Amino acid sequence: MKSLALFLVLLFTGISGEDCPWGTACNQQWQRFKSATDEVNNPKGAEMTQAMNEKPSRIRTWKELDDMDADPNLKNDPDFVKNANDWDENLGIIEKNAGGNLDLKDANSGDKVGEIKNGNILPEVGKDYAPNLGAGTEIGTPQNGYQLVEQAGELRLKRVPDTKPYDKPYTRPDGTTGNLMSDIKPTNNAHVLERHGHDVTDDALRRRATQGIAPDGSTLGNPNNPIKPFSSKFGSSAKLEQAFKETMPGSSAWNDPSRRTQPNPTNFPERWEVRFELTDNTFFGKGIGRNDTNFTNLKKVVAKYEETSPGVFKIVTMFPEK
Amino acid sequence: MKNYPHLKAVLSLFREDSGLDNEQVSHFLRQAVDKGNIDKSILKEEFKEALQDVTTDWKLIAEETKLLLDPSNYSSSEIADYVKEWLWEYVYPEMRPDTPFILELRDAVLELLEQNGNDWVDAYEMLQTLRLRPKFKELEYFQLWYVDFRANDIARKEIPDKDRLIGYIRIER
Repeated sequence: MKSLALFLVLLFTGISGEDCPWGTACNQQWQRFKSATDEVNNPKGAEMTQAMNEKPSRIRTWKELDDMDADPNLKNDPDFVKNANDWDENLGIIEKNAGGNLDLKDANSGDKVGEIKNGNILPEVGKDYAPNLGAGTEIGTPQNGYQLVEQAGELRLKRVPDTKPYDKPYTRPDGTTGNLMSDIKPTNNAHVLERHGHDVTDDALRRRATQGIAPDGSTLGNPNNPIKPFSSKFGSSAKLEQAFKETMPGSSAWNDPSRRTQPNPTNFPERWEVRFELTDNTFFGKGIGRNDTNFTNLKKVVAKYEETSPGVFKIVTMFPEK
Repeated sequence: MKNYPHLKAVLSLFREDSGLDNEQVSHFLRQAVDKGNIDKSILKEEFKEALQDVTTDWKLIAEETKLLLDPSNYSSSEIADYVKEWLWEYVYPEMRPDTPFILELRDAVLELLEQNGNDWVDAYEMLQTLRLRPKFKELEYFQLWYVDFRANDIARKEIPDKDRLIGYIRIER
């Protein structure tokens, strides 16, 4: 059965001799790819072959990943191979580290930019996207919510959260309609998805709890010793949407003075906080503290709003809390 | 102890569990000052007075403002140093040291660390030693952070449950 599948893959998905002539290093690498049994076992095999047909240098990237014995889930993921190839051709170097994970390094400086661990990339301390360095040039496509960017000759990783689930019309409690995403991020001052979105990885939460660096690279307090807060994320886009709707202006929680409060009405009258707690057996998400080993499931949520003008409220942040 | 309402209001913005970042905190502080909800000159007076008054209970202030999740881990003077870290340059922007001063401080710190070999040095002891030099007699604890530890291969060891302090430092070998 396995050889039949391999035969079919070779029959229908071969790279043309023009792209990768017989006898060249490229072709040898391709032959190795084709003969690797994991190609047949990989459900994304056909997509991978198509990716290599589109750009034969991706074969070299796959071969390099194969040579360093990279995690098969990564090396056989067409999206990762495409990215790794783009990174490799634009200042990036991928190497296996002592821990058996992959490091993404900057070819210019030799600095480690990020580590690819548990299938996900996580920026190295000091290598998060720096807004003060300009927009930069994107390299490849987002990988688990991080986009590699060249800023001022240096590689950095920018948090690019998955916004697709929220890009849809919805009806607010007052009966008006709008786009959910526009309301979740009404201004650049709002960072719900960047820091607490459903696609934030466990390692990114741990980094925030132990090093004080949020998934988007932001910090609170002295940048040399940022505050290490309890760090949480929503378990799914559906839970984030539910939390937003349960706490938004006009919701039951919003209209309940015991649940909508002002932390300091005298000095910061524009700041509002709304809290909601699930009473069924579900959780909004999970979180971890700096001294915790395991994550805690969280039923409570807090949404923080700014009254930008009288009666106009815009969300600043929202996260599951203990 | 006096009440210090403006000082406490600002410190409440810096609480550890705010979920905000530096940009957002600056935004709310700027807005409060612009709207006259916080008077910066009164804040400056309160800050100065609270630091000079030996009876100021910084633990109580940290509790009331929720500045720290667990103030009981810190001494009153350690909390005062942490408050300076947040407010000193905001209140006294003219006192921000220039680059030559910071470079001199870096060299002095590295020299003292070299003398201690592999031993960890308490940053408070380092501060006392540096203050013996005329150039650094006014040095504040938080200003040791001006030395870029990472760039200068200085390793840091936190004190358990007191992560707002510098803790111990030594040359990374």
